Amino acid sequence: MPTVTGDARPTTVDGTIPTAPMIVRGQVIASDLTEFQGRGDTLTFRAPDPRLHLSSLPLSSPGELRDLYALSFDDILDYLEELGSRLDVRTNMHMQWARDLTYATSPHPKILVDNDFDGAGLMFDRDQVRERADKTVGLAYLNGWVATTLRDKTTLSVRAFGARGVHIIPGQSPLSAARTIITAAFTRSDCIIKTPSNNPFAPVAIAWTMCEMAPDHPITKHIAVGYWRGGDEAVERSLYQPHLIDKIIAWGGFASVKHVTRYIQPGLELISLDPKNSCSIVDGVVLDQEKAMREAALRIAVDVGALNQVGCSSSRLVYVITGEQDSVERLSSLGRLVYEELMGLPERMSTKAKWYDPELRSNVDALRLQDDWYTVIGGGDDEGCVIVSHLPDPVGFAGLLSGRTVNIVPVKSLDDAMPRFNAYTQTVGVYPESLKQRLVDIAPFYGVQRFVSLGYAGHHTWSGPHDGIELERRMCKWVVDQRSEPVPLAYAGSGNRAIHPAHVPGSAEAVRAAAS
Amino acid sequence: MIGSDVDQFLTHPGDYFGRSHTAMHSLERKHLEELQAAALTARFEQQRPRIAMLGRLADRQGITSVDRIEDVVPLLFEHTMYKSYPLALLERQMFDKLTDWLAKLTSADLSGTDATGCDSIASWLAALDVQADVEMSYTFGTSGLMGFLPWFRRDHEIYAEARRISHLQRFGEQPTWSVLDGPVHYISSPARWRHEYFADVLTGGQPGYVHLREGARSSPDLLWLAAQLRLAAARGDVSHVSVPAALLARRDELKAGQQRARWLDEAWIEEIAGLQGQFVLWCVLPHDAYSIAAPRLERGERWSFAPGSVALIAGGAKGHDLPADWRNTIERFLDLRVVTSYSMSELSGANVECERGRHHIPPWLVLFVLDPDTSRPLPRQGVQTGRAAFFDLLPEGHWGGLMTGDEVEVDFDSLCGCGAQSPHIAPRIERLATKRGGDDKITCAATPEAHAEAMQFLIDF
Repeated sequence: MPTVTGDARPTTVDGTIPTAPMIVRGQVIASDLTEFQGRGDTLTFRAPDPRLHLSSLPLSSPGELRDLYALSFDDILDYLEELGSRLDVRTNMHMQWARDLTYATSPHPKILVDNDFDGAGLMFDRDQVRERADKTVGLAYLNGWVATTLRDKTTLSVRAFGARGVHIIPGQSPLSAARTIITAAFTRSDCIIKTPSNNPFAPVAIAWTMCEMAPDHPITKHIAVGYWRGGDEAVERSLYQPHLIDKIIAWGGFASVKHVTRYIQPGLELISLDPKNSCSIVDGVVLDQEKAMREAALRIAVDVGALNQVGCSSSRLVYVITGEQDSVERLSSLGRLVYEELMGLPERMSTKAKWYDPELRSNVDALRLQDDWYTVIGGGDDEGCVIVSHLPDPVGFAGLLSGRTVNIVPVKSLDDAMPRFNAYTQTVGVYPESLKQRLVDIAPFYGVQRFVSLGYAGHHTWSGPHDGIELERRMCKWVVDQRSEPVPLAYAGSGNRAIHPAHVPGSAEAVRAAAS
Repeated sequence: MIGSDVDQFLTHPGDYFGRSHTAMHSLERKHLEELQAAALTARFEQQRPRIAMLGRLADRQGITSVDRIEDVVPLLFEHTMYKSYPLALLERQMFDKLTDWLAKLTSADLSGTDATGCDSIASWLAALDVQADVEMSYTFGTSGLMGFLPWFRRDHEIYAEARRISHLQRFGEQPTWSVLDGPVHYISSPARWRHEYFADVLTGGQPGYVHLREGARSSPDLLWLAAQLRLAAARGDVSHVSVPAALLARRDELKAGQQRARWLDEAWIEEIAGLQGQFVLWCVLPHDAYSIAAPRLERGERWSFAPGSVALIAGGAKGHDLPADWRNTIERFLDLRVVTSYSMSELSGANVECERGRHHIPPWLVLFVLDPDTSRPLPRQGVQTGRAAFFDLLPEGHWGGLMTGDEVEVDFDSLCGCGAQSPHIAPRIERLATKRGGDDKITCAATPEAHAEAMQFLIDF
């Protein structure tokens, strides 16, 4: 379909153009503003020209991380706890400002945005931070050296040190910035956050609060938040250098990574987090009992509806293992129950989509008439809908599923389900639990990274691996102190020629052998 | 019963207007609406019993007749209708089931068509042509889904005649013999259906007048294979490509084809250069025209053709980054009339641009502007911006009512500066879906943009 693409059309809130200041290590900078045009659902906003701050953005030497090591772990928890309480959106004007601007840019309606902002402070609870730090990295490693003795009596001591990182974070929630700042704090890292165009405000609000709370505190001094267009060479060529940065943590897959890869070289590591899709898998036995079907339907609805299906863990496809028999009627019953539960979810958890993709709507509407192949339940008002495939295949436009639109697909057996998982599969919600046990040792070969009990896809603990990697561990620099037992040395100059050719020169064995 | 006046309009629209582009765009509004309303009534009566999906849609809404123009809006199909088959049917080469699916979308009688022996998309299309006189066109969208649209041969012929009138004539000018009937050199990419009807109409069958870009010729199977390979790569799982083994084995043909295309293109460009001084119609995508024009213009080259020649630029930028002055470059390079057209393969209209830069709608296309969220029709008066929808009155092979995925701004009432009375569309047309947001937007859920990027290459065809 041919079109001529139009120019970027900025949208603004109330006709005024908001300013997103830059926060650099305790300083709030709102001068030398440059305008960044929005398009579609991103706002036009002003922010300081990052090119003017390239010298202050990164640390000038890694040695400047030292002040973080004067802090005890409790000091870090104290700081974060205080920050968390100050981020209460009822009393924090920066958070209110960010929230109000987020109403315009977020894919979520107001009530879900409010939910997000109301919960931002909770992540900073000291017990939660302590548990996260311990389960992901290990407190012993973060706060000291962990020794282990090998068979040859060598002692290895390992410590996780903070690194200098640039974080290219996703924009749909203020929680991403909060999580990044918390992780940087407990790993004692330096953290430069590059905000995305779809949310340049929430990270600023958090960092601004840090500046007001404790402008000279080491943690504050090791956070910078700024916006530049991904791919802006003037900024990136200067900043992404191994003598300035150790790691780039890029969320959003290709969209963020494509600008970064050219700078990767030894000494500058890229940790890339790909966008993900998630799905569900249900044992067809639930179709035989009303109660089990209802329970499955509710759990599916929660995994689809929570956060309006916007997240990486939101389910878009539900595979039901039905065996050889024709199950269209029973699957349609399940579909109707899922729709009912979806519509019944509490508003603070799930609502009708703020914006429903017109291309998706067009595809779904075209299916309504295809009775032979699909049953479509609901969706006439963009409120969400359930599509039941009659054949064991997802709809051709499965990549577009959003706005609480879910596709239920029959599969003959567990073996037929496996090839449905791939490198983009993050979470698979499984029901019942016995089915999960059959999956967990095989499905990861196909790509699955996270198994949950159906209904718990949105329950992220942040205390385990994410997207198949140990993210917090990878953000650290793992340093080893190796200590070997003293051995009597045979000085080469003493004329002793007893070093055996079988021993590796320079090894303890060779020296011991020579000495004995 | 179709009145003879309306019947002629539907079956010989060119003759109905005396083969005059000016006449086509000089109908008084009231007269045009009467004609269109009568034509819509006739088409609905004719097609409702023959096209099962139309019957289904009409039944569900309790619609039994179309009397006024607006009455047809609830009966418009989604443009995705022609892609709404289960992908598995194509993946597993179940062409008999695909034929069943198609049968509900065409007025042709496919009951006698035996597609069980078909082992490729091309052979299926051939079977439909030979057994049922249905000549399908196929399209790809950014989702990688293949759409199939059924036409009768007669539909293609009528469309070709209408195109000649729309493309070669200028509003307000009396067409000469050479513009109406003389042979014209036809430069274009091969059609997405089996026979070159437009070439026939332009050249009168004279040898040496057809100059097709062989480098862009591909089979529907190879295009589909390419799409599936790209989708698999984008999914991160190239071991799991959903195509029949025999087609997968033709992977090398794809590569070889791409290489051949490069030197075929060079030969084609030389061929066009050799047509200077001749009367030509060159149908081309903006990016292709620009990439030919820009380097040559820089070298000081210009190509000059006989008066009356036209370069018809249709199709969007299709993902290529065109500089803002791309059109100016083409116009400076080519000494002929450069005109754009808002068109799509699902329609038999060429909404050709007038001298004031507006796209004018021919009388056999009934244009609607819908609310993008509710698909309710906006008033057909004044200036309206919203989702473009059409009823194409020309084809009999499929139902002409279609809702597009484009946003347009239409002026229904005011007289365009060029003198034409027909409704006209503003030059800037956007895909509705692109309003999703800018290029520095980062989210952590896989979005369709990832697929769309992988599919860019397809829409170059």
